[in-house]
Amino acid sequence: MVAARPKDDHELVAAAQTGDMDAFERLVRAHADAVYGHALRFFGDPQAAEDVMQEVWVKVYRSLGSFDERSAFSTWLFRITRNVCLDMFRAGKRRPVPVDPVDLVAGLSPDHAQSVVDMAAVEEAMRALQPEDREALGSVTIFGLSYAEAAAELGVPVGTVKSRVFRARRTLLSTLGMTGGERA
Amino acid sequence: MKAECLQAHETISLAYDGEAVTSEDLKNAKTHCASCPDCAAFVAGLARIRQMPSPQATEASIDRALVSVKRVSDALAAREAKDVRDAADADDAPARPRVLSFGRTWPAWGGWVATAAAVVLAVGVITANGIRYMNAPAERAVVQPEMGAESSADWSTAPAQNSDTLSTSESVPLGSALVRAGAPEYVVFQGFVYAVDPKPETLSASATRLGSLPSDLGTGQVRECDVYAGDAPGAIIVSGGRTSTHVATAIVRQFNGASFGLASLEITKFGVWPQMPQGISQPTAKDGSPVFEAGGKDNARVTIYVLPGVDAAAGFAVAPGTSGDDPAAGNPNWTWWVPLK
Repeated sequence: MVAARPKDDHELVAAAQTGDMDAFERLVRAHADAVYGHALRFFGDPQAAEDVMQEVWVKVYRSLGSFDERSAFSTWLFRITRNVCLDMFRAGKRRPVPVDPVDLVAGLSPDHAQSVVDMAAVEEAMRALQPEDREALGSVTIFGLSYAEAAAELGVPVGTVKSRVFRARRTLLSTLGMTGGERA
Repeated sequence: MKAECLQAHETISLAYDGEAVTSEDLKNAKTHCASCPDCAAFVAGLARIRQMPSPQATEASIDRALVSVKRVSDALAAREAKDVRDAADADDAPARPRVLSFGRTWPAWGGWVATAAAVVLAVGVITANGIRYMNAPAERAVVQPEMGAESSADWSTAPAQNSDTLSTSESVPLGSALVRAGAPEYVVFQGFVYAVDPKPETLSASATRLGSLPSDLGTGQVRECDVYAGDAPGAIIVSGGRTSTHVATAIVRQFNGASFGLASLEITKFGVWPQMPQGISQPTAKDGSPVFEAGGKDNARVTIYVLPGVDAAAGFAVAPGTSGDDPAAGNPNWTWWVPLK
């Protein structure tokens, strides 16, 4: 769960801004997982995540000419992705699928001490986090933002990002039964 | 949980994200975790989760997104091609002005840009990299003068403009966004520039929402702001939250009895000057050539410049260096004005 931050974003963005569609496609492929992952954790619905994907990349395509690279591309992309999710939610186009606590437990091995935690269980636990905690954790781990960058994008102090990421991790591990027996 | 356990968890969590922790703190955390089963479980859990892949977009979902982008790209290209044909069919007839109105039925950004670009395209060709002119050098430049104060956002202290500074231009590909700081507090809504009044405004519960725009509203952090209809003609209300709601007024000049609004690419931060629409370059000479030719004077006796062979009613440019009471005062770039109605 380590964010990829392609070093050649700058070159790809510059090429895409001149109309190079191959470069644009490479940008899409390099960052598609981050957009999809954020949307999936936001809505809990693969179809909604695909809708977000389409909306985000069309917005990126339309706005790339005005992207001035004062921030990293991934930071800009996080902002667009976050706004698209919030807009869809506010517009009532999509609603987050509720998380069922029973599913959280059912996704885990009965033997927590030696559990093989599968990805679905982790994702379910991610979705059970407080939205602001999940968003902070995702900005850092999926989009690769630094705490300072995440703080700027989320409009909160760096200390708040630090607290949210930490709280998210503790809750996540607790939910998954990976903190020495504690359960949320 | 003991305080030292909490401290160890926090230190390790920070270290995992590449945030700064002292070697001493990290050493203490590791030492503690080695002797504390709960903390050892926490570290092991972090490591296991970190190794797990994040959700991955399927090839099909990526393809669908790319198809959507292609559809938008094709639609824009088709519209440009149609406008080129229409312009050719109209022979030398001037382009018809678009019918616009404040606040409610302003056109989408692409509409008038396509119109303006199409007129330009009537004498040029489209390439994958933008517009190249048959009678111009292969690399056309967006020309921006140098600015003295990068961070000055004070309208009254913006450096005096001199058209001669155009000679210190630099070239960027068409479509790139080359901007300079130092402009007043501008936002762009539906392609038109508005000056934001710094005085906070209270939003009426009955205000009509018109849409949204991205702006930092001077905070340095860009966010999507709600836009509402303002009380005065040409005014909107921009709200970035309960404590950051402001009235913004369109930048307008008069020509031949009609109002023209200042148009620009998106401006997301205060202190950034408006930019010419995509497809219309900054001229390289003070007389507007090779992009424009003089097209008369507006109501304030400021010279306006038009695209060759195109009536000013369809839109016109104004050179930098206008006087202090001009709506484009202080702008170091050529500006583009679109008819309102």
